[in-house]
Amino acid sequence: MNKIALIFKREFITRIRNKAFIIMTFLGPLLLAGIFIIPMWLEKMQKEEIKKVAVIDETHLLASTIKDYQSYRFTHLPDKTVEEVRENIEELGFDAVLFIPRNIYKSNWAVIYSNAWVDDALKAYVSYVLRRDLEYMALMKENVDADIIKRVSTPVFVGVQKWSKDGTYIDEESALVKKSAIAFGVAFLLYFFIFIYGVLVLRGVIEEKVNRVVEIVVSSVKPFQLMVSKILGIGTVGLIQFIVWTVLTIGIVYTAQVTLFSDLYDPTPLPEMGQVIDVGDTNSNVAANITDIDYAVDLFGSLQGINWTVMISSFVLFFIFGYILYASIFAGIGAIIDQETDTQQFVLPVSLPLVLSILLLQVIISNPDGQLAFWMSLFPLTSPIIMLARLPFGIPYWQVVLSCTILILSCWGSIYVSSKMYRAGILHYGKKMSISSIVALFKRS
Amino acid sequence: MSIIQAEHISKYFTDTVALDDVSLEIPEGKIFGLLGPNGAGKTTFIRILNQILSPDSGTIRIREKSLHEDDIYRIGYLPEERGLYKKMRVGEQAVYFASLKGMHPSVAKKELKIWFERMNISDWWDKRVEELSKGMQQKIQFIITVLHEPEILILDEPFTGFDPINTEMIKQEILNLQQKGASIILSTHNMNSVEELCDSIALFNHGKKVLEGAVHDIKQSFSANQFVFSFEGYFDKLSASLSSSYKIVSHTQIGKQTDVCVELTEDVASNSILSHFAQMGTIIGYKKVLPSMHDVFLQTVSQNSSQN
Repeated sequence: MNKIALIFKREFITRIRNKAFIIMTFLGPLLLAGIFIIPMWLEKMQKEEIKKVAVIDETHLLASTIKDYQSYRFTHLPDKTVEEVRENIEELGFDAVLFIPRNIYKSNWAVIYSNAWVDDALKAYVSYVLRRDLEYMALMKENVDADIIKRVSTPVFVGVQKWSKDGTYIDEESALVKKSAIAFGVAFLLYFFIFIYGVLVLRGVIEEKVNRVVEIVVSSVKPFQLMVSKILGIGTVGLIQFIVWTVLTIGIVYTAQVTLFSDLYDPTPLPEMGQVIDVGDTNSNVAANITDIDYAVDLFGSLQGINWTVMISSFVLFFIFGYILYASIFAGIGAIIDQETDTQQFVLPVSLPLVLSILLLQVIISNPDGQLAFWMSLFPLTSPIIMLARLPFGIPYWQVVLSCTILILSCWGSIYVSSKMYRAGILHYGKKMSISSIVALFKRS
Repeated sequence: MSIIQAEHISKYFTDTVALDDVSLEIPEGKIFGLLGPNGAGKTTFIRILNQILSPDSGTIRIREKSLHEDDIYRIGYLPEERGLYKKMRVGEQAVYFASLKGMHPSVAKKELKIWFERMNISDWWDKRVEELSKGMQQKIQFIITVLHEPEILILDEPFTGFDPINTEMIKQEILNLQQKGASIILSTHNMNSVEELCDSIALFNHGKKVLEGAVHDIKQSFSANQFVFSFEGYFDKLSASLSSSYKIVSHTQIGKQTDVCVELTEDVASNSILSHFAQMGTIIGYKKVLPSMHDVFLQTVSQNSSQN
């Protein structure tokens, strides 16, 4: 039987049979799903907790327009002063007091008193309502027609449209959000994959050295074969584990979303201007009140402008070769160091480009056609992550092909160099290889 | 008839010369000892035979043919630095290594069962390696090395980690393999086992071959024309020291028996002075003094090192 297949089989089977591996494969999704579900659960708790706000309105006009919103319940207390309520806030059963002073028309100033944390949503809602009504009243005072007021106050949303050279495709704002989410998702996926399984390769190499089993192995196979089959074996194990993780995590989170938190993403639109004071036309169909929540449920639907065939095949290519590039570097490092305790100081500099890619991801995604994005998606140590992040935004094919070519060539080079290091390094016990001996090694072998 | 011919092998590492123009012939069907102090280049030479390293210059030929990739199937190698995968089970692991050496897994399994039976270790099959003692692991490794019945067997310090009983067992197995036709290279510091097992040896020092030949011939050439005469009677030192044909090296007397060690002057036949000692008592025997391989080793290495 082919030796690469034999070693691959051993690497694969011994890892997949490992108890810790099996436990982590099925425990991982629970932990990951927890990361998504716990914030949703907290948010739900928060939303369901009713907060009572007393309103002291010295104008005796504005209070009536402040309607209950989400978990906030507003109670107008026309007969009380703000001091009375503040001093007896707990006996009266309020969480906060909203004070609208008589001179608000001039000062544009209202206050929320509370002995607890006042969250931003309440502040934003109150200021939105007051501003809306004050503007409305000011315009009414100038005898502006109510219809005109409604028209001028219509909020304007700037949509982004993008077209390819043949002028066909259109990119909506919401699609951009979805694309960013996909970009972040795939970039992080690859990042973690390289870190988890690349380091596993490194540890596998060191383990064979520490066990002193390596000389027996390389008397039967070439170090190159050993290295390549190890990288492929661990990569396959990783791929299976990742697929299980991804499918189970999405499954759990989705199920939880549908069953437990279905009401969480049911947005309450903010009332429009004129809806409250002037109980006129409530059918006004302003495309306002965007709540960018819908993408969580429907991430992949209605995404125009992504060529899924290119996207998925590029994803697979960059994912696989990105892993192979880093795994072969890690294998080379594993061969020249002797103890697992030394790994950290060697892993860190090598993984720096990866960390940098993740740090710059936001910048790249906000301008996927920029110079930085372009060059980083060509440089082989950053290209797997950066190119994956750029792909959803639609980039010229020649760039994808060029980047992929550079990456594959780099893989080949890295495997070549690493197998030399591997060949020379794996039989060095006890002493660290100096820089000069590594250099000499390349000259010789 | 030699199975391996090494010609002008040199290998350099960054700051050292591991092998310096070494030529060597390893006889077929014999046990060949590869000796030398630590760092002499033995392991490098063995690794070159196993194609783990390639020489910087020189050629290796097996049966007149240049070393080929597939030759590794004909070699069984027990390295000095050896170990097994700790978490793998014994049987599974042995089958794995055998299939790396080109055996079909089912054949390997069958052969292994026979070996395990013979060595009384059948119940280890499903144990994890980490559960075994060091000696037990060594046994497994020996079996793994020889399982594919290689023509050439390279054993680097095969006896370390064994108790005397198991050492004897392994020695017998090595001799069995030789009888079945295997050519064996034995690298060891244990000179007793060299005397017991090896037909011929090569001695390395500082990357050079400094001595080569059949064990018996080497001992002969290192002997200093000394003889021990044993007789029952009392040693007459005065009379003995008058002779011009020999010099007395030492003499001991235990009970009635006297042993006298003498160094003969050149051109004197040993039996010509037999009568000399017959006068002092009844001759029990006499024999030539041969140095041990231990002495040969020390003498060669110290001479060689002082020359450098």
